[in-house]
Amino acid sequence: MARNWADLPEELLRLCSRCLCPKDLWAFRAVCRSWQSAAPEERSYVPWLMFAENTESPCRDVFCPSCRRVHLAPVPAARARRCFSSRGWLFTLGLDMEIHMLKNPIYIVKLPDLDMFSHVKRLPYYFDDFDTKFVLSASPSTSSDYMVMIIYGKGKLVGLWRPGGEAWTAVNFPSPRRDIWDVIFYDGCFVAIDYKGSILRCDVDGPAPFEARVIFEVPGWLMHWEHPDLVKPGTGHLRGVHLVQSTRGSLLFVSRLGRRKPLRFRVFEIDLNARTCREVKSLGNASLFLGPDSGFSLESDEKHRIEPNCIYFTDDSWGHPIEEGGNMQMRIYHIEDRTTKQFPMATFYDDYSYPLWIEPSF
Amino acid sequence: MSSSSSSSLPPCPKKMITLKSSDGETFQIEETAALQSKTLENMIDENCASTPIPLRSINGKILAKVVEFCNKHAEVGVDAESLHAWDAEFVNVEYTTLFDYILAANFLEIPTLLDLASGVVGDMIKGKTPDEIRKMFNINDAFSPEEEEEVRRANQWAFE
Repeated sequence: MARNWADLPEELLRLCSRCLCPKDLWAFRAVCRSWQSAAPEERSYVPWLMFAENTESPCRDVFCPSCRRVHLAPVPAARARRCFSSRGWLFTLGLDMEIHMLKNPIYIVKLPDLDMFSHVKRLPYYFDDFDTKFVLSASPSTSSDYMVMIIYGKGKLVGLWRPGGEAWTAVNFPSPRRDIWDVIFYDGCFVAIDYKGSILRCDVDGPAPFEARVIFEVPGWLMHWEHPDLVKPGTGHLRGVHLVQSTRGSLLFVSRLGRRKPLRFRVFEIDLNARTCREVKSLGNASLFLGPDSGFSLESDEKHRIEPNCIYFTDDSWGHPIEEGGNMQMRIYHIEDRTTKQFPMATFYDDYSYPLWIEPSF
Repeated sequence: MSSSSSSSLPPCPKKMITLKSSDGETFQIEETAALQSKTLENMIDENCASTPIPLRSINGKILAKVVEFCNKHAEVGVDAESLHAWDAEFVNVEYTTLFDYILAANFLEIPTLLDLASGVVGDMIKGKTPDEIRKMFNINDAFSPEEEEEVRRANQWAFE
């Protein structure tokens, strides 16, 4: 009896494609019409790690944690530009101030240039734009009603753009130090945390859409971490603070102490309404993915080799040789036993761009 | 397999049900093993399993294997590692058999078998080009060159 694999019911084909990484899913979709319709285009369960730029090539190396292979992704628009990511989309910023938002080379949106801010005459001087961030309120693949927030130079300038807008509208973040660690779109608002531990909220649909207000101060000890594991017991210097939405929908505050040894992460859940925060000792079945510019959470997935209760983070010490060989571009921190595993991968890196985690897109 | 005799309870008579394949073969399966199939479980619950259950979409060759699978997975005291090895061997079969496993597991609603068989199909696809996949599964219903170009273009970011 002939078995026609093209005629297998759609839900069964989808099951067969469940363990495929984005690269293999492309091949799956290209087999025949029924296989294509079984695997909708926007579906991917795997985050990608995009490596730093190789200036010689219009492509970027992308590491897939599922198949553990490095693929070549053609991203000509990212050539000689700094890249950022939010909700599975890439943002590119060049020295010419041009900003593009892209999903893949054919979904590309030009945003107003970096110096196009309403009511701002001159871009504030900032010597290094590593600390620029772009935050999407929703994925443009699934919603036409989305917004982009740009946080330039650790919050020296914050702007908001909606589709069709000609310029960035400046948003006032009345942070005493004006330095912002991280921003996310959470529960209908943009929520930021500054270096002092103030949490600011900007309700873009409220009466004052371009004014952020301080709504909560996280306890001081969270920002100056004391930890007995430190070589010199005492106050440690935070290397990073991230705001991430958990897989259950709560707001997480993640702080990182140390660069090498000791290296510790702590995770807290913040309730903005009750104004409380409590330490999270385990992420359960979920894991966090933290890059220099964005963070997200995912359920663990054995098929895609995504381990539970871990923090996958990109290295911020590129340019430093590593004794184990290769460049340390990605590491995994296990919350349970507080160990860090290395993921050495020999790829090109430079001082101008850094590896990025790209959220799986739906 | 030796059974424990330390229990003071009288041995429970094993409840068996009978399955009948599309080509008329009959198979006996213990009710406890059959419960892995949600379809059979429903029939047992509704007291529809006292007479042979006709399975018109599953032939004798495949039904024999499905019964073997259910029996193995109902065995007590099998460690995860050896079951894993047994499973790997179980799906080390021709594509046509794999195809039949998937349909049978879907019809009988046996999630463990469905996951196993579909997962192995996924594993076979990994790292292959669309052409290689078509050859492997003997699929002739391919795209026209224009359609293929469109698919390629729309999925550029899925890496050349």
